[in-house]
Formats: sequence, C-alpha cells, structure tokens
Amino acid sequence: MDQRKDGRKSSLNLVSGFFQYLRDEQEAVQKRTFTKWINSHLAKCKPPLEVTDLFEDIKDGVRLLALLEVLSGQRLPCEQGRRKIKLVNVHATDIADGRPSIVLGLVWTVILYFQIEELTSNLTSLQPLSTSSSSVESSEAGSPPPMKRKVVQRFQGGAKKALLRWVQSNAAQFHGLQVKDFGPSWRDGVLFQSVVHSIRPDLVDMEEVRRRSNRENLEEAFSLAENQLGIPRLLDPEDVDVDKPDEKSIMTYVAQFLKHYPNPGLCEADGQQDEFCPGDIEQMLEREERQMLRELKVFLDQLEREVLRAQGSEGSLTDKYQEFKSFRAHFEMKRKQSEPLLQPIGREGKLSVDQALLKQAWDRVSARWCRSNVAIRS
Amino acid sequence: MLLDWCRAKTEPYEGVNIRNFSSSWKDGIAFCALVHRFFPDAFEYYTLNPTKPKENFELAFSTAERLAGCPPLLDPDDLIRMKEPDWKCVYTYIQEFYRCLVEKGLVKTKK
Repeated sequence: MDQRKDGRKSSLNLVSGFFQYLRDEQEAVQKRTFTKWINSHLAKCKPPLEVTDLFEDIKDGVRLLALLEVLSGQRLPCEQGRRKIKLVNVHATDIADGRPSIVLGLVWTVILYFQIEELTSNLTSLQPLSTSSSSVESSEAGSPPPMKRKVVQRFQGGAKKALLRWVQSNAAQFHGLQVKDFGPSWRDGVLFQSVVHSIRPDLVDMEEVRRRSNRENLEEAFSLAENQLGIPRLLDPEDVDVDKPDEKSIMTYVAQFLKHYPNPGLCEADGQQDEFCPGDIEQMLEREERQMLRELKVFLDQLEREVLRAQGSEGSLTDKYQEFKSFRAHFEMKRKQSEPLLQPIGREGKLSVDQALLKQAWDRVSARWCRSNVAIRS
Repeated sequence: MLLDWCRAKTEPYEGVNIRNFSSSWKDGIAFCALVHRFFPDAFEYYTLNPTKPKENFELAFSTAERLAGCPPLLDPDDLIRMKEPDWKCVYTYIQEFYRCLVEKGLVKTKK
C-alpha cells in the first residue's frame, strides 16, 4: 500500500517537474523575445539604453520609464533617486524583486497597451497616459492610476470577449442562443446546459431543457458537469437565479469548461478564428485576477499608512473629520469591489495565497479603521 | 484585430491557414507569406519548404529586418525547440512588424 503511494507520489513529482521545466523554458523564451523588443525601442533613446538581463535591469525602473517615454512619445515625470515610478507602483515590490512571472506579465501589458490598432488612432491611445502622469502627483490613496486601470480593463475585455466567443461558437449557436454577457444570459441555466451538451450531447436533452425551470436546469447542468465532466461546482443555483448574477464567478466557472474541453464537438466550424489559444484564455483570466488582488493589496497598504498617519497627526478636528469622510468613501468602495475576490474558490472553502494575504491586510486595516473611527468620534 | 489582419494578408497564399498565434506559425511558412505579401520581390514563395522551418524563419526574419526595419525579435532555434511557438512572442513580433510597415507607409491606418 505504501509502496504504491510512494510510486504515485514520485511520478507526480516527475510530472510536475516536467511542467516546471516547460514553464521555465517558456519563461526563458519570453524573456529573450521581450528583451529584444524592449531594446529595439530603447535604442531610440538619447543616449540609447539597453537591457541585458530583463529581471535585473527592470528593478530600478529607469529603463522602464525610458521605454514608456519612447513608446508614448511623451516625457513622463521621474523623481531622481526614487526606486519606483508611481505610474506602475502597483507592482512595486514584485518589480523591485525582479520576479520573472510578474516582470514578464508587466512587459506583456506594456506591449499590448502600445500596439498599433488599425481602428483607433495612435493619438487617442496616448491621452490616458498624459492624464495619468498628472494624477501621479495627487496624494489620493484611491483607485489605481488611469493607465493601469485602462490596461486592466482592456485585458479583462480581451479575455471576457474571447471567452464569450468561445461559448457562442462552441455551444450557443447550435441551439439558436445568443450569449452577450456573463450575467443575466445565464440565469435560466439553458446556456450552461448547452455547454454541457456541446461536450456530451448524450447527457442533455435540449428540448426538455426549454421546458424546465431555471433552478432545475442550473442544478442539472452543475451536477452533470461535476459528475460526468469532472468540473467542480463553483456555483449554486440560488446564486445564479437572480436578477444580476455575479459575472466574475460565472466567468470563472465557464472558464473551467474551456480549460478541460477546449474543443468540444467533433468538428470545428469552418472559418472559426481562435484569436487566443484556449489555454491562454485561462491564463489570462488567472493573471487578471492575481493582478487585481495585488492592486487591492497595495491600495490597502497605502490606506493603512494613511490611517496611521491620520491617527497620529495634529490638526484640527474638522480636518480630521474631512479625512475620515474621504477614507470612508474609499474604504466602502474598495470593500464592495473586493468582496467577490475574497470569496473562497472551490468547495473546500480555502483561499488562495494571494487572497489570504489580501484578507489579512484587509482585516488589519478594518481593525485600525474601527479604532480611529472611535477616536475621531469621541 | 491583428489576427484578422494576418489572415487577410496571407489569404492568397497556399499552405497557410492562420488560426491562432501559435501552432499556425510553426513551420515558418506563415511568416514568409506575410513578409512576401509586402515584399514580393525579396524571394520566391513557391520554392519554400514547410519541412524546413528553421530556414523559413531565417528567411522571413532577415527579409523583414532588411526591408521593413523590423528587428528580429524571435529566435529560430527557440521556435523550433518548443512544441508550439509561444503565442505572446509571435504576437509581439507580428505587432512590431505591423508597426514597422506603418512607419514605412506600407500599411494604412485610419487617422
């Protein structure tokens, strides 16, 4: 019994070691390509700059700043001697540590942001950059700088659109369905059933489905997916059968189908364009989520510092109250935004590392917040 | 989007079917087709051999560098070694190629 267990364990190690090797290799290739790309643009600087080791050279932010200047054609504010520019302060520690996956993700973001779009003029894409550089000076400990947000939105737009397209072309279209969002369209469960059907037509009778209630369809789809397709349940019918089901959780769940069955159906439709490989949509989603969690954490750290500072500062009662009110507004907004992110994924109810860190930070700030609330009011 | 553009430009070429930014580019023919579309005098497309990816990559990248000023961001050895080209790397290169073409005035953008 033990021998078998060990055998399995070591073969698991072999497998995970192999995947690690592939990942490392992929990282190395990306590093080389991205470095060349960066250098091709840095060469235009006066004096020309160069990156030799991407993960090392990116740490002080100077070359990154120069790159952004070259790409945007604008001068950006830079504080001498500062370790990091505020424009991308979201990844401050990770960049400073040179963590490969983060650095590569960041460069990728920059590449996407500055790609030439045939449909939009170059000039309009530069606008957000100029507004963000001016808002850099403001001491607002609030939402991420406009550029970052725009990039995050665009990223989200890309993954979401791609996922929607996947659903449409692989499932929805065969049953005369149209999927436009990851919210209300999914409420009646018919779309879920159609996705299951596209993978295993024998499991679902689409005619029957149309006659059934929302809850019945949702329940059946989820349990079929779990028991027959091996896709863990991430949703409860009660949560989906509402006016505004949570888009993010539905997207995450549907992405599971994509991950396990990227090409459902025996034949692919002609002329089907896969803009992104199915596996990559999953990666994009994961990356976005990690990014958002990190952004929130940074915000919370900043907020905590602000709260501490406010607690200790001299200043009139009215000043303090003003600060208190603006903190409260930010706090509430962020809390609403982060609520879905902090929900445990999967039935085990465990939080991922990022989520756990975030929750810790959140709890800390909340505690301080309560204390300062009390102090100010008294 | 970039993929549509690639498909449109390589449509007349036999042996090219671009469906994504990874496997479709594996044999190097797609790169050659794209480059040839803009620089048809640079080489003979029909003499190319899909079973010789490394040569195809080298031809495409060097031509693009020479005539479009597009820096060779991708390494043929990397491309061959991996099971499928890394889609972000291919995307980055194509995007750069496109940018160089725009700068040369070979591609119209709406302004």
